[in-house]
Amino acid sequence: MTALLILFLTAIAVLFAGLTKRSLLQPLSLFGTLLALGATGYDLFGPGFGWGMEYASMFRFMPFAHAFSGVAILATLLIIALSGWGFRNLNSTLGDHYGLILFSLCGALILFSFTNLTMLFLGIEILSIPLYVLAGSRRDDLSSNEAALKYFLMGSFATGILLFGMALIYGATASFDLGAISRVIGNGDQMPGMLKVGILIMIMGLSFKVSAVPFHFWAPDVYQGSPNLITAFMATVVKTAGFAAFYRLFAIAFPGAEGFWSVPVALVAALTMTVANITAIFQQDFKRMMAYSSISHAGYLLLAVLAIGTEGADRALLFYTLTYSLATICAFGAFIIVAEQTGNSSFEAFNGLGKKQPLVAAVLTLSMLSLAGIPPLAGFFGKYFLFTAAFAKYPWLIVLAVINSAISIYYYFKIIIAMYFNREDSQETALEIPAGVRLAVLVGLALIAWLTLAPGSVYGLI
Amino acid sequence: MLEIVRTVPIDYYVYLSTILFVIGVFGVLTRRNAIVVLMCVELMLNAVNLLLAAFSTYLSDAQGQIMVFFIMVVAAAEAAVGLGILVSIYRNTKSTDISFLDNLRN
Repeated sequence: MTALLILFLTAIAVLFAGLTKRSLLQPLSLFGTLLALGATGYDLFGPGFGWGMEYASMFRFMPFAHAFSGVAILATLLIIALSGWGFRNLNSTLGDHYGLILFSLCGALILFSFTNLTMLFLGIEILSIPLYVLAGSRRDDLSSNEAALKYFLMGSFATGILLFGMALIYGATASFDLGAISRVIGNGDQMPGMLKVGILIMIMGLSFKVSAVPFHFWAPDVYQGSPNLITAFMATVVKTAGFAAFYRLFAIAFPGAEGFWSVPVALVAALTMTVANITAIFQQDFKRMMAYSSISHAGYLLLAVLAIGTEGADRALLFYTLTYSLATICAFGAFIIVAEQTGNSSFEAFNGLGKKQPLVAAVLTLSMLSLAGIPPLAGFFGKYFLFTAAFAKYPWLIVLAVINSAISIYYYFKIIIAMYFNREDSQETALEIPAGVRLAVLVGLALIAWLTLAPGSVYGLI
Repeated sequence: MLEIVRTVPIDYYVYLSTILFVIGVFGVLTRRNAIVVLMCVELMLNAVNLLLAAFSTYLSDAQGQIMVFFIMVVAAAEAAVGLGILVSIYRNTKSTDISFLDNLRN
């Protein structure tokens, strides 16, 4: 809770600083997020603050919440570090950008710790509403407008569906408290119809939020149209928060009803992986490809929800979200540099990057390899932990997941091939990369390397 | 008051809110005007509010009514953001028709 308070106060301070001192904004946001990361680390590794761990049965900060908060805050920290360049053309609204990102992060922290459906709803809204604004933050750009409207309409539609499910569950169990709902469900052999329908509708609503097939159709447009850094934020922090909430809800409130909800979730996971990976093959635009890649990772992450009750399911989820977030941020960091240079987001923009900017190309290569899950890298351990956790319950799904990982190698390698083997047409000189961007990308890369060498250090955290 | 509410069985409230909710869903999926879509989302949220208030009365439990207030607050915040986005789109396209917005799909 300390981290939540720090982030909230920083966000307010940043909003006010935006009125006068714009040069202070990035350092202030960085300082606040670092402080929050420190507080989370103190709670997780050290003795902890010992206060504010729970509040009126609304949220409870356990090691699960601290560890996931660490992932989300770290991802935001790297995105803010990258933002010195990405946001440099904004003038009057710069303070709002940092403030909204931090407010959105507060929503993510609530989603890691809620113990009541009210907080699930509020957390999702606090996470989403700032993002609707951020997605449309390039006001003169029609594609940014379009992304914002689509995100907003689909987001509020999903909220409505989620709330209807919550209302039905409340009607059947007379409580919003996760523990009380779990007690009413018991071992799940006497569930009223209303409760079953409620759980199914909640699966639909959450699938919308985490962009799982067949509720994913908004994601590619929104990812493509939003500003690059906001897309990176959506693909990492929002996805982590969405899945942690999904996992928490089903692990605490509905474990007894597993026989009922696991088949629909398994079907959604199978569809998500297959459709997303096959569609991603045909993409010609980096951001759209990353959108489908993020949808396919949503399919793998659903395996953690299916593995609820198995030892290590939450750890696998934590490790996977961390490696996925780091690799995605590194990829977007490299992409931002390329996009600044060429003003283009198609695959041709990457032609000849290996010669022009070896460092950027190396970062992008490693993050693509990690996303594809090539053996020695961190992404491979993520997939390995996740697949082994879910294997006992759904062997056929794991076979499908492995086949899909093999398909995904194709489109990740398309970028690598463009960088190293395609000739570039123009003869532009390489752009000077600012120190902050270089540092952020290298820190992300170092963390991937560390997870590659010592995966147990994070896997054993919770 | 409680007795008057309870003269109608709870099932009827569930049916009514489900019908309202489904009307909202169909509106979101079929209408082309962004403002009408926004109104349909509000209809969905209010169907949920009705359902929560009815359950809350029947269960003699206040949590549902508290949730209604939270939903109202969030719906207002969402409407403010949504209308803001619509204004910025209207400035660029001079229209609120969402079928114009298809320049992303390559």
